[in-house]
Amino acid sequence: MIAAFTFTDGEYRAHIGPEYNVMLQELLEEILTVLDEPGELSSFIGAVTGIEPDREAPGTPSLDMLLPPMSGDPAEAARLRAVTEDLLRSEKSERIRAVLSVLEALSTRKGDTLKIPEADAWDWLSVLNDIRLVLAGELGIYSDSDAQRVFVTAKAASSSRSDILSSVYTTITWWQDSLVHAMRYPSKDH
Amino acid sequence: MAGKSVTEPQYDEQMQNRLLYPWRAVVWNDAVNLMEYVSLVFQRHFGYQPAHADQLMRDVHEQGRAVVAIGMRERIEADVLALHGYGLRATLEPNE
Repeated sequence: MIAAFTFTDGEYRAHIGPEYNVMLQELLEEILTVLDEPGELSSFIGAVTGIEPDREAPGTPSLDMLLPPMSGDPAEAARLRAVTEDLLRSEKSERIRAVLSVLEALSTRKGDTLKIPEADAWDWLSVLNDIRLVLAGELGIYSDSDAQRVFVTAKAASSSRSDILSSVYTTITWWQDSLVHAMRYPSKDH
Repeated sequence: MAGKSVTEPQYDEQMQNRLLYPWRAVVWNDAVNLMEYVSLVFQRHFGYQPAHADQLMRDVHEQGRAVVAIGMRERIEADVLALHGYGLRATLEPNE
């Protein structure tokens, strides 16, 4: 079971059962693997020349969601990507590692009440968003009607990979929304 | 030199804008980022008041894109990168 976030005594709290905790940890480990992978060609060019004038987009749907182009002009986007992508990757990785360690600690002590200090709330909000972006890449959510299709599919509750991903996407969307709500309207929860 | 008439420079607001704020950050609509999350990001990153942030968020949603900041190139690059950190779809472009 997983419950909505509330704001209590200066921290955000949510019930998260072991099955959801483990699922989140697995998702985050997977995302770390793709984020930490250096672009092969780029590091080669960097090693040889010391400079990397431009870099192509990662080219997988999920990474393209996580690391979008900074410009609508492809040449400019490639130039900017060469100087910013590693920074963005490490920012996201670092945040995921912080969230993972909290989830792991909760698992270790067999707890199911997540307590997030107010100062860490943005890490969680952004990490939940990154998980949704990755799943959206896998599920091909590019328009509102795609999103609608995923929400409908999630209800089918079959064991196909895409139905399971849809269901996970829907759950994490709802959970993130509850944290957004707790952050926007903290007084209404209590 | 005496007697030569000097024309007052015409202050063109658009021209002034282009000189002082030559670049702009644009946020694009997408089907993943939650509307209230987008507004919270605008409030946190730019320090915008909730009403202004909500208006920008609605502009993104209804018009497909909104200009969220204007300024010098380096500043706007940093804004766009920060918005990518939050997971928003943002680009920079000349402020024309």
